[in-house]
Amino acid sequence: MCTGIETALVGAALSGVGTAYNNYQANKSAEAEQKASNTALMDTLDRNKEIQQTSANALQDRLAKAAPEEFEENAQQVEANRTAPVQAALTASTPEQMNLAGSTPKIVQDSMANKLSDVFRQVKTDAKNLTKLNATGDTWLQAGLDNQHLADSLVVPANMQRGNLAGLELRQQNAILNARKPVSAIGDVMKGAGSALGSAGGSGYFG
Amino acid sequence: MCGGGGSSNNSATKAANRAEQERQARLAQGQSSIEAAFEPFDDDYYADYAQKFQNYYEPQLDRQKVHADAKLKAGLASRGIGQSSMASNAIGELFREYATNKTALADDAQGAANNLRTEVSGNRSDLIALNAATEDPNLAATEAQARATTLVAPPKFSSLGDVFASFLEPFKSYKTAYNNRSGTPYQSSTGQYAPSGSGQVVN
Repeated sequence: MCTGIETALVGAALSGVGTAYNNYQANKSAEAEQKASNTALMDTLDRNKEIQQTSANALQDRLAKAAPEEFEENAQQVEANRTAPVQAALTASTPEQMNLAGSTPKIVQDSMANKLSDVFRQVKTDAKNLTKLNATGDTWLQAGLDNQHLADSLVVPANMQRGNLAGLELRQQNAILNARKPVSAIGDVMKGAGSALGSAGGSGYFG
Repeated sequence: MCGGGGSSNNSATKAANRAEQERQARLAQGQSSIEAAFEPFDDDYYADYAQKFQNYYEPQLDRQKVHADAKLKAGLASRGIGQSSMASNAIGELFREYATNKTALADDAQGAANNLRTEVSGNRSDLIALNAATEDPNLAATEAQARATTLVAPPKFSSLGDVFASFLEPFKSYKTAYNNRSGTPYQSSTGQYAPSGSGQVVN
Protein backbone atom coordinates (compact mmCIF):
# COMPACT_ATOMS: atom_id res chain seq x y z
CA MET A 1 0.00 0.00 0.00
CA CYS A 2 1.35 3.43 -1.00
CA THR A 3 1.73 6.30 1.39
CA GLY A 4 0.24 9.70 0.62
CA ILE A 5 3.60 11.09 -0.43
CA GLU A 6 4.23 8.17 -2.78
CA THR A 7 0.79 8.58 -4.29
CA ALA A 8 1.36 12.29 -4.79
CA LEU A 9 4.69 11.56 -6.48
CA VAL A 10 3.14 8.97 -8.78
CA GLY A 11 0.38 11.49 -9.61
CA ALA A 12 2.94 14.20 -10.43
CA ALA A 13 4.91 11.77 -12.60
CA LEU A 14 1.76 10.64 -14.40
CA SER A 15 0.76 14.25 -15.01
CA GLY A 16 4.25 15.01 -16.37
CA VAL A 17 4.11 12.02 -18.70
CA GLY A 18 0.67 13.19 -19.88
CA THR A 19 2.00 16.68 -20.61
CA ALA A 20 5.05 15.25 -22.40
CA TYR A 21 2.81 12.99 -24.48
CA ASN A 22 0.62 15.94 -25.43
CA ASN A 23 3.71 17.94 -26.47
CA TYR A 24 5.01 15.00 -28.46
CA GLN A 25 1.74 14.73 -30.34
CA ALA A 26 1.57 18.47 -30.94
CA ASN A 27 5.12 18.48 -32.28
CA LYS A 28 4.36 15.55 -34.55
CA SER A 29 1.32 17.38 -35.89
CA ALA A 30 3.28 20.61 -36.43
CA GLU A 31 5.94 18.63 -38.24
CA ALA A 32 3.36 17.02 -40.50
CA GLU A 33 1.73 20.40 -41.16
CA GLN A 34 5.09 21.93 -42.03
CA LYS A 35 5.87 19.04 -44.34
CA ALA A 36 2.49 19.33 -46.06
CA SER A 37 2.90 23.06 -46.42
CA ASN A 38 6.37 22.62 -47.90
CA THR A 39 5.09 19.96 -50.29
CA ALA A 40 2.41 22.37 -51.55
CA LEU A 41 5.07 25.04 -52.00
CA MET A 42 7.42 22.66 -53.84
CA ASP A 43 4.59 21.47 -56.10
CA THR A 44 3.84 25.06 -57.05
CA LEU A 45 7.50 25.85 -57.58
CA ASP A 46 7.92 22.73 -59.73
CA ARG A 47 4.88 23.73 -61.79
CA ASN A 48 6.33 27.20 -62.25
CA LYS A 49 9.76 25.80 -63.01
CA GLU A 50 8.37 24.01 -66.04
CA ILE A 51 6.78 27.23 -67.26
CA GLN A 52 9.88 29.20 -66.41
CA GLN A 53 11.92 26.82 -68.57
CA THR A 54 9.92 27.94 -71.62
CA SER A 55 10.69 31.57 -70.80
CA ALA A 56 14.33 30.79 -70.11
CA ASN A 57 14.64 29.06 -73.50
CA ALA A 58 13.13 32.09 -75.24
CA LEU A 59 15.54 34.39 -73.42
CA GLN A 60 18.46 32.10 -74.25
CA ASP A 61 17.57 32.21 -77.95
CA ARG A 62 17.41 36.00 -77.85
CA LEU A 63 20.72 36.28 -76.00
CA ALA A 64 22.36 33.97 -78.52
CA LYS A 65 21.14 36.22 -81.33
CA ALA A 66 22.50 39.26 -79.50
CA ALA A 67 25.94 37.73 -79.02
CA PRO A 68 28.61 39.78 -80.85
CA GLU A 69 29.38 37.23 -83.58
CA GLU A 70 25.75 36.41 -84.25
CA PHE A 71 24.80 40.09 -84.17
CA GLU A 72 27.53 40.94 -86.68
CA GLU A 73 26.47 38.09 -88.96
CA ASN A 74 22.88 39.27 -88.76
CA ALA A 75 23.91 42.86 -89.48
CA GLN A 76 25.73 41.72 -92.61
CA GLN A 77 22.69 39.78 -93.75
CA VAL A 78 20.46 42.80 -93.13
CA GLU A 79 22.82 45.00 -95.13
CA ALA A 80 22.86 42.50 -97.99
CA ASN A 81 19.06 42.42 -97.95
CA ARG A 82 18.90 46.19 -98.02
CA THR A 83 21.52 46.50 -100.77
CA ALA A 84 20.24 43.86 -103.21
CA PRO A 85 17.12 45.71 -104.48
CA VAL A 86 19.00 49.00 -104.68
CA GLN A 87 21.75 47.36 -106.73
CA ALA A 88 19.11 45.86 -108.99
CA ALA A 89 17.53 49.30 -109.46
CA LEU A 90 20.93 50.77 -110.24
CA THR A 91 21.60 48.09 -112.83
CA ALA A 92 18.25 48.90 -114.44
CA SER A 93 19.13 52.58 -114.78
CA THR A 94 22.20 52.45 -117.01
CA PRO A 95 23.57 55.64 -118.62
CA GLU A 96 23.12 54.10 -122.09
CA GLN A 97 19.46 55.07 -122.03
CA MET A 98 20.41 58.75 -122.17
CA ASN A 99 21.32 60.10 -125.59
CA LEU A 100 21.68 63.14 -127.75
CA ALA A 101 20.58 63.51 -131.33
CA GLY A 102 22.63 61.42 -133.73
CA SER A 103 23.86 64.53 -135.49
CA THR A 104 25.50 65.86 -132.32
CA PRO A 105 29.23 66.38 -132.81
CA LYS A 106 31.42 63.55 -131.56
CA ILE A 107 33.19 65.81 -129.08
CA VAL A 108 29.86 66.58 -127.40
CA GLN A 109 28.85 62.90 -127.51
CA ASP A 110 32.16 62.01 -125.82
CA SER A 111 31.70 64.76 -123.26
CA MET A 112 28.27 63.38 -122.42
CA ALA A 113 29.59 59.83 -122.18
CA ASN A 114 32.19 61.03 -119.68
CA LYS A 115 29.62 63.00 -117.72
CA LEU A 116 27.24 60.04 -117.57
CA SER A 117 30.02 57.75 -116.50
CA ASP A 118 30.97 60.15 -113.69
CA VAL A 119 27.37 60.58 -112.61
CA PHE A 120 26.79 56.83 -112.62
CA ARG A 121 29.84 56.26 -110.45
CA GLN A 122 28.70 58.96 -108.00
CA VAL A 123 25.15 57.63 -107.84
CA LYS A 124 26.56 54.17 -107.21
CA THR A 125 28.62 55.50 -104.29
CA ASP A 126 25.66 57.48 -102.94
CA ALA A 127 23.45 54.39 -103.14
CA LYS A 128 26.06 52.31 -101.36
CA ASN A 129 26.33 54.87 -98.56
CA LEU A 130 22.55 55.18 -98.33
CA THR A 131 22.02 51.45 -97.98
CA LYS A 132 24.84 51.18 -95.46
CA LEU A 133 23.25 53.92 -93.37
CA ASN A 134 19.78 52.45 -93.57
CA ALA A 135 21.05 48.93 -92.96
CA THR A 136 22.35 50.13 -89.59
CA GLY A 137 18.84 51.33 -88.78
CA ASP A 138 17.43 48.02 -90.02
CA THR A 139 19.78 46.05 -87.80
CA TRP A 140 18.63 47.92 -84.71
CA LEU A 141 15.03 47.77 -85.83
CA GLN A 142 15.40 44.01 -86.10
CA ALA A 143 16.96 43.90 -82.63
CA GLY A 144 14.06 45.97 -81.26
CA LEU A 145 11.50 43.70 -82.89
CA ASP A 146 13.31 40.63 -81.55
CA ASN A 147 13.22 42.16 -78.06
CA GLN A 148 9.54 42.92 -78.48
CA HIS A 149 8.94 39.35 -79.60
CA LEU A 150 10.77 38.06 -76.55
CA ALA A 151 8.74 40.31 -74.24
CA ASP A 152 5.54 39.11 -75.94
CA SER A 153 6.53 35.48 -75.56
CA LEU A 154 7.03 35.99 -71.80
CA VAL A 155 3.59 37.52 -71.16
CA VAL A 156 1.55 34.30 -71.00
CA PRO A 157 4.11 32.21 -69.05
CA ALA A 158 4.54 35.04 -66.52
CA ASN A 159 0.77 35.29 -66.19
CA MET A 160 0.51 31.52 -65.60
CA GLN A 161 3.24 31.63 -62.99
CA ARG A 162 1.45 34.45 -61.17
CA GLY A 163 -1.77 32.42 -61.27
CA ASN A 164 -0.03 29.40 -59.76
CA LEU A 165 1.48 31.52 -57.01
CA ALA A 166 -1.84 33.19 -56.27
CA GLY A 167 -3.33 29.78 -55.41
CA LEU A 168 -0.39 28.76 -53.27
CA GLU A 169 -1.70 30.17 -50.00
CA LEU A 170 -4.99 28.32 -50.35
CA ARG A 171 -3.21 25.07 -51.23
CA GLN A 172 -0.87 25.45 -48.25
CA GLN A 173 -3.68 26.21 -45.83
CA ASN A 174 -5.59 23.20 -47.04
CA ALA A 175 -2.53 20.98 -46.86
CA ILE A 176 -1.94 22.14 -43.28
CA LEU A 177 -5.51 21.42 -42.29
CA ASN A 178 -5.36 17.98 -43.87
CA ALA A 179 -2.06 17.15 -42.14
CA ARG A 180 -3.17 18.43 -38.72
CA LYS A 181 -3.60 15.57 -36.19
CA PRO A 182 -5.75 16.42 -33.19
CA VAL A 183 -4.01 15.71 -29.87
CA SER A 184 -5.39 12.43 -28.51
CA ALA A 185 -7.11 12.25 -25.12
CA ILE A 186 -4.48 9.88 -23.66
CA GLY A 187 -2.20 12.68 -22.56
CA ASP A 188 -5.06 14.63 -21.05
CA VAL A 189 -6.35 11.51 -19.24
CA MET A 190 -2.89 10.87 -17.84
CA LYS A 191 -2.62 14.51 -16.78
CA GLY A 192 -6.06 14.37 -15.15
CA ALA A 193 -5.36 11.09 -13.39
CA GLY A 194 -1.98 12.37 -12.23
CA SER A 195 -3.55 15.52 -10.87
CA ALA A 196 -6.25 13.52 -9.05
CA LEU A 197 -3.69 11.17 -7.56
CA GLY A 198 -1.55 14.12 -6.48
CA SER A 199 -4.52 15.76 -4.77
CA ALA A 200 -5.57 12.53 -3.10
CA GLY A 201 -2.03 11.84 -1.91
CA GLY A 202 -1.62 15.34 -0.61
CA SER A 203 -4.90 15.32 1.29
CA GLY A 204 -3.87 12.16 3.15
CA TYR A 205 -6.56 10.03 1.56
CA PHE A 206 -4.14 7.11 1.34
CA GLY A 207 -2.89 7.61 4.80
CA MET B 1 -16.98 18.65 -37.76
CA CYS B 2 -13.26 18.74 -38.33
CA GLY B 3 -13.58 16.11 -41.07
CA GLY B 4 -16.36 18.10 -42.67
CA GLY B 5 -14.22 21.26 -42.66
CA GLY B 6 -11.31 19.40 -44.26
CA SER B 7 -13.49 18.03 -47.00
CA SER B 8 -14.87 21.47 -47.72
CA ASN B 9 -11.33 22.83 -47.89
CA ASN B 10 -10.31 20.04 -50.24
CA SER B 11 -13.12 20.75 -52.60
CA ALA B 12 -12.42 24.49 -52.47
CA THR B 13 -8.78 23.87 -53.34
CA LYS B 14 -9.72 21.47 -56.11
CA ALA B 15 -12.15 24.02 -57.52
CA ALA B 16 -9.50 26.75 -57.34
CA ASN B 17 -6.92 24.50 -59.02
CA ARG B 18 -9.37 23.56 -61.74
CA ALA B 19 -10.30 27.20 -62.30
CA GLU B 20 -6.64 28.13 -62.61
CA GLN B 21 -5.98 25.28 -65.05
CA GLU B 22 -8.93 26.39 -67.16
CA ARG B 23 -7.74 29.98 -67.05
CA GLN B 24 -4.28 28.94 -68.22
CA ALA B 25 -5.79 26.83 -70.98
CA ARG B 26 -7.78 29.85 -72.15
CA LEU B 27 -4.65 31.98 -72.16
CA ALA B 28 -2.75 29.37 -74.18
CA GLN B 29 -5.65 29.04 -76.61
CA GLY B 30 -5.83 32.81 -77.10
CA GLN B 31 -2.07 32.93 -77.68
CA SER B 32 -2.31 30.14 -80.28
CA SER B 33 -5.06 32.04 -82.12
CA ILE B 34 -2.89 35.15 -82.25
CA GLU B 35 0.14 33.18 -83.49
CA ALA B 36 -1.98 31.53 -86.18
CA ALA B 37 -3.47 34.83 -87.37
CA PHE B 38 -0.04 36.44 -87.65
CA GLU B 39 1.71 33.45 -89.19
CA PRO B 40 1.50 34.82 -92.78
CA PHE B 41 3.63 37.81 -91.81
CA ASP B 42 7.01 36.23 -92.48
CA ASP B 43 10.10 37.47 -94.35
CA ASP B 44 8.62 36.47 -97.72
CA TYR B 45 5.52 38.54 -96.99
CA TYR B 46 7.56 41.68 -96.33
CA ALA B 47 9.78 41.06 -99.37
CA ASP B 48 6.64 40.77 -101.49
CA TYR B 49 5.28 44.00 -99.99
CA ALA B 50 8.52 45.83 -100.84
CA GLN B 51 8.32 44.47 -104.39
CA LYS B 52 4.73 45.72 -104.73
CA PHE B 53 5.85 49.14 -103.55
CA GLN B 54 8.57 49.20 -106.20
CA ASN B 55 6.28 47.84 -108.89
CA TYR B 56 3.85 50.67 -108.20
CA TYR B 57 6.31 53.56 -108.17
CA GLU B 58 8.99 52.54 -110.68
CA PRO B 59 6.85 52.77 -113.82
CA GLN B 60 5.70 56.21 -112.69
CA LEU B 61 9.29 57.32 -112.34
CA ASP B 62 10.22 55.84 -115.71
CA ARG B 63 7.34 57.69 -117.41
CA GLN B 64 8.27 60.94 -115.70
CA LYS B 65 11.85 60.50 -116.86
CA VAL B 66 10.77 60.10 -120.50
CA HIS B 67 8.73 63.31 -120.26
CA ALA B 68 11.47 65.19 -118.43
CA ASP B 69 13.98 64.09 -121.07
CA ALA B 70 11.72 65.40 -123.82
CA LYS B 71 11.09 68.68 -121.99
CA LEU B 72 14.77 69.18 -121.31
CA LYS B 73 15.80 68.51 -124.89
CA ALA B 74 13.05 70.81 -126.16
CA GLY B 75 14.16 73.52 -123.72
CA LEU B 76 17.77 73.15 -124.80
CA ALA B 77 16.81 73.15 -128.47
CA SER B 78 14.73 76.28 -128.00
CA ARG B 79 17.86 78.00 -126.74
CA GLY B 80 19.84 76.64 -129.61
CA ILE B 81 22.12 74.57 -127.39
CA GLY B 82 20.60 71.16 -128.04
CA GLN B 83 23.89 69.73 -129.30
CA SER B 84 26.27 71.52 -126.99
CA SER B 85 28.44 70.43 -124.08
CA MET B 86 25.93 72.26 -121.87
CA ALA B 87 23.26 69.91 -123.18
CA SER B 88 25.42 66.89 -122.47
CA ASN B 89 25.95 68.22 -118.95
CA ALA B 90 22.25 68.84 -118.41
CA ILE B 91 21.35 65.37 -119.66
CA GLY B 92 23.97 63.93 -117.35
CA GLU B 93 22.35 65.74 -114.43
CA LEU B 94 18.92 64.52 -115.50
CA PHE B 95 20.33 61.01 -115.41
CA ARG B 96 21.65 61.66 -111.91
CA GLU B 97 18.19 62.79 -110.84
CA TYR B 98 16.64 59.71 -112.37
CA ALA B 99 19.16 57.15 -111.08
CA THR B 100 19.17 58.67 -107.60
CA ASN B 101 15.39 58.51 -107.45
CA LYS B 102 15.36 55.00 -108.84
CA THR B 103 17.72 53.74 -106.13
CA ALA B 104 15.91 55.81 -103.48
CA LEU B 105 12.63 54.16 -104.51
CA ALA B 106 14.14 50.71 -104.14
CA ASP B 107 15.46 51.76 -100.74
CA ASP B 108 12.14 53.34 -99.75
CA ALA B 109 10.45 50.05 -100.59
CA GLN B 110 12.57 48.40 -97.90
CA GLY B 111 11.67 51.22 -95.53
CA ALA B 112 7.97 50.75 -96.27
CA ALA B 113 8.31 47.02 -95.60
CA ASN B 114 10.03 47.82 -92.30
CA ASN B 115 7.23 50.19 -91.33
CA LEU B 116 4.73 47.44 -92.01
CA ARG B 117 6.85 45.01 -90.01
CA THR B 118 6.79 47.42 -87.06
CA GLU B 119 3.04 47.91 -87.40
CA VAL B 120 2.40 44.17 -87.48
CA SER B 121 4.62 43.62 -84.45
CA GLY B 122 2.81 46.38 -82.54
CA ASN B 123 -0.58 44.87 -83.34
CA ARG B 124 0.61 41.45 -82.26
CA SER B 125 1.88 42.87 -78.95
CA ASP B 126 -1.42 44.65 -78.34
CA LEU B 127 -3.32 41.42 -78.87
CA ILE B 128 -1.05 39.44 -76.56
CA ALA B 129 -1.63 42.05 -73.84
CA LEU B 130 -5.37 41.95 -74.56
CA ASN B 131 -5.38 38.16 -74.30
CA ALA B 132 -3.55 38.26 -70.97
CA ALA B 133 -5.92 40.90 -69.62
CA THR B 134 -9.21 39.39 -70.77
CA GLU B 135 -8.34 35.67 -70.73
CA ASP B 136 -10.95 35.33 -73.45
CA PRO B 137 -9.68 33.13 -76.30
CA ASN B 138 -12.70 33.90 -78.49
CA LEU B 139 -12.10 37.62 -78.24
CA ALA B 140 -8.39 37.11 -78.92
CA ALA B 141 -9.14 34.98 -81.99
CA THR B 142 -11.73 37.40 -83.39
CA GLU B 143 -9.57 40.43 -82.77
CA ALA B 144 -6.45 38.73 -84.19
CA GLN B 145 -8.32 37.76 -87.33
CA ALA B 146 -9.72 41.26 -87.74
CA ARG B 147 -6.36 42.93 -87.35
CA ALA B 148 -4.56 40.47 -89.61
CA THR B 149 -7.21 41.07 -92.28
CA THR B 150 -6.73 44.83 -91.99
CA LEU B 151 -2.97 44.47 -92.20
CA VAL B 152 -3.05 42.32 -95.35
CA ALA B 153 -5.51 44.62 -97.12
CA PRO B 154 -4.01 45.95 -100.37
CA PRO B 155 -1.90 48.98 -99.51
CA LYS B 156 -3.00 52.39 -100.72
CA PHE B 157 0.05 54.18 -102.01
CA SER B 158 -0.16 57.82 -102.97
CA SER B 159 1.04 58.75 -106.44
CA LEU B 160 4.62 59.71 -107.03
CA GLY B 161 4.99 63.50 -107.04
CA ASP B 162 6.67 65.41 -109.86
CA VAL B 163 10.17 64.14 -109.27
CA PHE B 164 11.88 66.23 -111.97
CA ALA B 165 10.01 69.51 -111.35
CA SER B 166 12.83 71.27 -109.51
CA PHE B 167 15.42 69.96 -111.96
CA LEU B 168 13.52 71.34 -114.95
CA GLU B 169 12.68 74.63 -113.25
CA PRO B 170 15.77 76.57 -114.44
CA PHE B 171 15.06 75.57 -118.03
CA LYS B 172 11.43 76.63 -117.68
CA SER B 173 12.46 79.88 -115.99
CA TYR B 174 14.77 80.65 -118.87
CA LYS B 175 11.94 80.21 -121.34
CA THR B 176 9.60 82.40 -119.27
CA ALA B 177 12.28 85.08 -118.87
CA TYR B 178 13.05 84.90 -122.58
CA ASN B 179 9.39 85.27 -123.52
CA ASN B 180 9.01 88.22 -121.15
CA ARG B 181 12.19 90.02 -122.19
CA SER B 182 11.78 93.71 -122.90
CA GLY B 183 10.68 94.56 -126.41
CA THR B 184 8.89 91.28 -126.92
CA PRO B 185 5.52 91.79 -128.58
CA TYR B 186 2.38 90.37 -126.97
CA GLN B 187 2.14 86.61 -127.13
CA SER B 188 -1.04 84.76 -126.36
CA SER B 189 -0.65 81.89 -123.98
CA THR B 190 -2.66 79.79 -126.41
CA GLY B 191 -0.31 80.67 -129.23
CA GLN B 192 -3.30 81.81 -131.28
CA TYR B 193 -1.88 85.27 -131.83
CA ALA B 194 1.72 84.32 -132.18
CA PRO B 195 3.40 86.97 -134.26
CA SER B 196 5.37 84.65 -136.48
CA GLY B 197 6.64 81.12 -136.98
CA SER B 198 4.97 77.77 -136.51
CA GLY B 199 7.30 76.26 -133.95
CA GLN B 200 6.07 75.67 -130.44
CA VAL B 201 8.08 75.11 -127.33
CA VAL B 202 7.09 71.99 -125.48
CA ASN B 203 6.59 72.65 -121.78
